[in-house]
Amino acid sequence: MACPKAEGCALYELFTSRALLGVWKTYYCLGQHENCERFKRSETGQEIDDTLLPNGQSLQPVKQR
Amino acid sequence: MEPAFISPWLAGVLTALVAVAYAGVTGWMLGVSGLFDAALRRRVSNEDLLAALEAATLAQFGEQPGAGAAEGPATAPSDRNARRWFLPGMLLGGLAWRLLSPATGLEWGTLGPSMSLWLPSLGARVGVLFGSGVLLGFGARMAGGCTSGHGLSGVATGQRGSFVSVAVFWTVATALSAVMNRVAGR
Repeated sequence: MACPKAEGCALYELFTSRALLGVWKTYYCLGQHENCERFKRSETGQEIDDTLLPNGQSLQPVKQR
Repeated sequence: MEPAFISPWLAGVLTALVAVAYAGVTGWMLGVSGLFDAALRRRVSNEDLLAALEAATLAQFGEQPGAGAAEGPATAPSDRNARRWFLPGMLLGGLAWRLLSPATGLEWGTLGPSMSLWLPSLGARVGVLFGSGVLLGFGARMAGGCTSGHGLSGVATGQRGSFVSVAVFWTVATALSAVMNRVAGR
């Protein structure tokens, strides 16, 4: 079942923007969303940083030239 | 003049049709506050974040030729367009309904006889509406959804949290409405 929190998820927008990133959507948003750290935090009312990945790691933005 | 609102039964059916159509077109459950939040958060969709996300994707899933691409884009353009157009469409739909249905008896800015009694000036009504919108936004994000997300999509799909949310806001809204109407002598 699709993740019920996907519409308000900041990263979901990014997952849909490039084909390579679609694997996150397939694996978590459409698949095991109960294992997504963002979903689990939203269920417990915790703050969710925009850089928190579904696997629990934090995204480190890099500057491009 | 007593406003003649659309039948709540008809409104319920129409709203349900919107939710079903939205799910059919986009593949996702309808949640207006979530859509609004997503629209505001589009600012994070920059190249730096995308580049970092691609690196994290490769680290997590490895080199997968065609990962996500074999089946085309993760989200079809029509899907994304439908979601982007929902919010302006909702506003334009309300405006169109008002223009095409003058028989409702609602006047611009009055919000009905109860609101006129409580808030006689237009400025006060605008202020209260704005403040209410801000509070509603906070509440919706704290609860993980609003009336559409919990009341339509969540309950329809059997989400336990949605049943709790609907029970709370339905009870409070009904009680508050009853008190306001009683004080207003209606």
